[in-house]
Amino acid sequence: MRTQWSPSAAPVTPLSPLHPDDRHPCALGPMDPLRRSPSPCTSRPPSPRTPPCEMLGHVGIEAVLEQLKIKAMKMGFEFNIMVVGQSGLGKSTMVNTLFKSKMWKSTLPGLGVPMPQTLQLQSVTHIIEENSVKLKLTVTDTPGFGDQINNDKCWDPILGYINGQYERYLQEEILITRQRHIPDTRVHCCVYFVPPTGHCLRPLDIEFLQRLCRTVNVVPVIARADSLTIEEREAFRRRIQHDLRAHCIEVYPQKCFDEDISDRILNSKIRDRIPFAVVGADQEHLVNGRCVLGRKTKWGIIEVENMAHCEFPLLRDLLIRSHLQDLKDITHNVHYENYRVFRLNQSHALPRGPGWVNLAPAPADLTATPGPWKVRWQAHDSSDEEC
Amino acid sequence: MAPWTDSTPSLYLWAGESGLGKSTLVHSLFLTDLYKDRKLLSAEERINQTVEILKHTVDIEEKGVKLKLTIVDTPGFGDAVNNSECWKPITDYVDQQFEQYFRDESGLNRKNIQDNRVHCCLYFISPFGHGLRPVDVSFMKALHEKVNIVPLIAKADCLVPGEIRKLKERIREEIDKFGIHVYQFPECDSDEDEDFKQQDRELKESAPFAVIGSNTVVEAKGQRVRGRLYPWGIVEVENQAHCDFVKLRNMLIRTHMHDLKDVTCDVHYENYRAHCIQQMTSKLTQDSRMESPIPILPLPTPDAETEKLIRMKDEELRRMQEMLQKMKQQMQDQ
Repeated sequence: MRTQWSPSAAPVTPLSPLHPDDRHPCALGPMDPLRRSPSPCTSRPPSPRTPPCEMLGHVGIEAVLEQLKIKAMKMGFEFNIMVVGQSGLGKSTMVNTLFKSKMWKSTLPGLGVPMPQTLQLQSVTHIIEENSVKLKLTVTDTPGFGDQINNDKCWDPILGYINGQYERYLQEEILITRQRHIPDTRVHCCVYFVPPTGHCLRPLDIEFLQRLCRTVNVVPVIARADSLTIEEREAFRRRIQHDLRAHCIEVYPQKCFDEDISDRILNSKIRDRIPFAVVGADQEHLVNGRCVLGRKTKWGIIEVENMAHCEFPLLRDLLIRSHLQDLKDITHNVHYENYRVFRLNQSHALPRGPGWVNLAPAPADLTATPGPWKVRWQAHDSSDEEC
Repeated sequence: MAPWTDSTPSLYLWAGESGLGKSTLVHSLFLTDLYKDRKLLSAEERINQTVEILKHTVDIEEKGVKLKLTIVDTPGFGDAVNNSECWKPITDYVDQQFEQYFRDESGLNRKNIQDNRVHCCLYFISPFGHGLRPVDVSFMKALHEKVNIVPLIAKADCLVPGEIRKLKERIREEIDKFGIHVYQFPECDSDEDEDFKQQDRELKESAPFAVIGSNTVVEAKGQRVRGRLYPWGIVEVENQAHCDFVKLRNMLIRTHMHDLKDVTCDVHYENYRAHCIQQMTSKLTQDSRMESPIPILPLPTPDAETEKLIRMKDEELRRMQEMLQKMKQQMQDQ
C-alpha cells in the first residue's frame, strides 16, 4: 500500500552507480523495470550480505517517519501538471475544481483576440497550503492544441517544453557546485482531455499519446462527460482502452512499474477505469441542503463529487491523494533518466567521478524524444571532453 | 427560373465532425434508423479515412401526407490530423448536382429531369468550443454561396442554459464577422395572425438551434418520451424548454421546406448557372470563335438514340424549309 511518506520523499536521490555486470543501459528499453532504482528494503528475500536481525527491544526506528515529515513540511512539495486538449473541453475549469481554487480565470477569449495560430504554452504557479503542508503547484496550459485546420506536428511545442524542463534540471545537476535543492520544473503529469465523441480515439489523439507516453506520465480523461449516458461512457471507455492497447500506448500507471503485488492490485483497479469520465465545475449549488460543486441544467444538477454522476473523485484521488509522490518518482527515475542518458550519450561522454562534463549544446529542436537506442556505448571517454 | 415540382424530394446534406450526434439526430427527426448496420471505424481505420459522401432515401408519412427525403451524410469530415481542404469532396458534390441539372435543363427531354440539387446543408457545430472553429469557418465560407446553410449546435445537453445563450450569441457574432451567409428565414406576411408572427419571431431568435437527438425512449413523469437518461435527470428531446429540436423539425419538414427549395432554385442554382455561362463565354472569346453570338453549350456526347432523334428532327426541319420555299415561290408567281 502506498503511503505518502515513502523513503524517496527526500530531495533528489543519488543515482545508483552502474555496476560492470549490469546490462548496457542503452540496451534497456525506455520503459524497462530495471531502470527504476529499487528501494533499499524491497520484499526480496534477504541476501547473504544483509541478513535480517532479530531485535531484542524497542529501538524507535519509526521515529524516522516523523523526522521526514518535519523536514518535508519545512521544505514543502512541488508538483507540476500539464493539461492538454482542444479548447472548450474544460481544462481550466478542471484545474480549478481539482485544487478548489481559482488557478485560472476561465474566461472566453474576447472577440477581438484571434485564436492562437500556433500552440502557446502558459504556466502559472501557486502555493497552496492545507494543514500546514505547502504545495507549490505549477499548471501549464496548452491553448490552441488541435484547434487548427492542419494540426500536423502540433505536439512538437509540447514535447519541446517537456524536454526543455529536463534540460534545465540536467544543467543544474551537472554543475560542480550545485544547489542543495534543485528547483524542479519538470512536468510530473500530463492530463490529456479526450473529447466525448462516444466513438473511439481520433487520429490526433493517437499521434499525441504515442509520442508523449514515452516522455512523460500521461493520464487521459474523457472530458465534458456530462454529454454521455452511463452506457455510452462504458462503451467509449472500452473502445479507448482497446485503441491504447492496439497502439502500444502505456498511460499512467504503467504496468511495468508496479513494484509488488499490492501495487499491482491497486493499479489494476485504476487501469480498469482509465480514462476517467470527468466533469468540471467551479460554481456551487444547493442540493438537499448541502452546498456542492456542480452544473445546473434544466433537468437536474450534475454533482462533480458524486461518484454516481462522474469520476472526478477518482481523478483527484489519483493525482493528489494517492499517487502524487509516485508520479514524481517515475518522472525522476525513469523519464528524466532516459533523457539524461540520451543527452550524455549525445555528447559521447558519461560523468566519471566529481568532474563536470562538457555537454554538447542542446539541439535547437528538443522535440526528438530519446527513442530506440542507436548510439554506441563508449566505455572510455575521450579525455578532451573533460574540462 | 428552374421550378421544382411537388414530387421533388428534399435533399438535406449533413456535415460536421464525427461524434457530434448527426446520425442520432437523423433518427430522431425522421424516426428511422438509417445506420442500424453501420460499423463504426476503429482508430486505425480512421487514420487513413477520407471524406465520403453517402446518400440515403427516407420516406416519411404524417397525417396522411407522404414525404420523400434524401439525406446525404459526410463521414470522415474534420476527423484527420490535417484537415486542409476536407470540404472539397462536399463542394464538388454540390457542384456536380448543379452541373447535372444544368445539363438536363439544356437538353432535349426536359419533362422528367431528376432534381438532385442540395436544398439545405445542416452543419453541426461542436458545443465544446468557444464558438466557431477555423474548420467551421472555412467550410461555411466554401459552401455559403452554393447551398442554404443551417448551423446547429450539436449535443446541447452538455450546456447549461446560460452557456447556450452565450454560445448562440457568439456564433451569431462570428458569422457576421466572417461574412458567412447562412440561411435567413423569410419575413412573414403582415396579414398573418399574431400567433404565427410570434412563432416566427421565436424561430429567428433561436438560431442557431441547439439540438439534442436520441434513439431511445425513456419514461419521464409517467409518460414515454424520446430522451436521454442521465443519473441526474432525463433530457426530453421534444421538450421546448430543453432544446430546439421541435423548432428544427418544424422548420425542416413543416414550415420552411418549400422556402428552402425556392431559395436553392432561385438563388443558388441561378448563381451557379450564371457563373457557368459566364465562364463559357469568356472561354469562347479566348478561343476567338466568332461564329454564333449564342454560346454553344457543352452538350454531353449524345448516345445513339438521341442522335437518331436529332437526325430525324433535322430532316423534318429541312423538309419544312423546302415546303416554305415552295409556298413562297407560289405566292410570288401568283
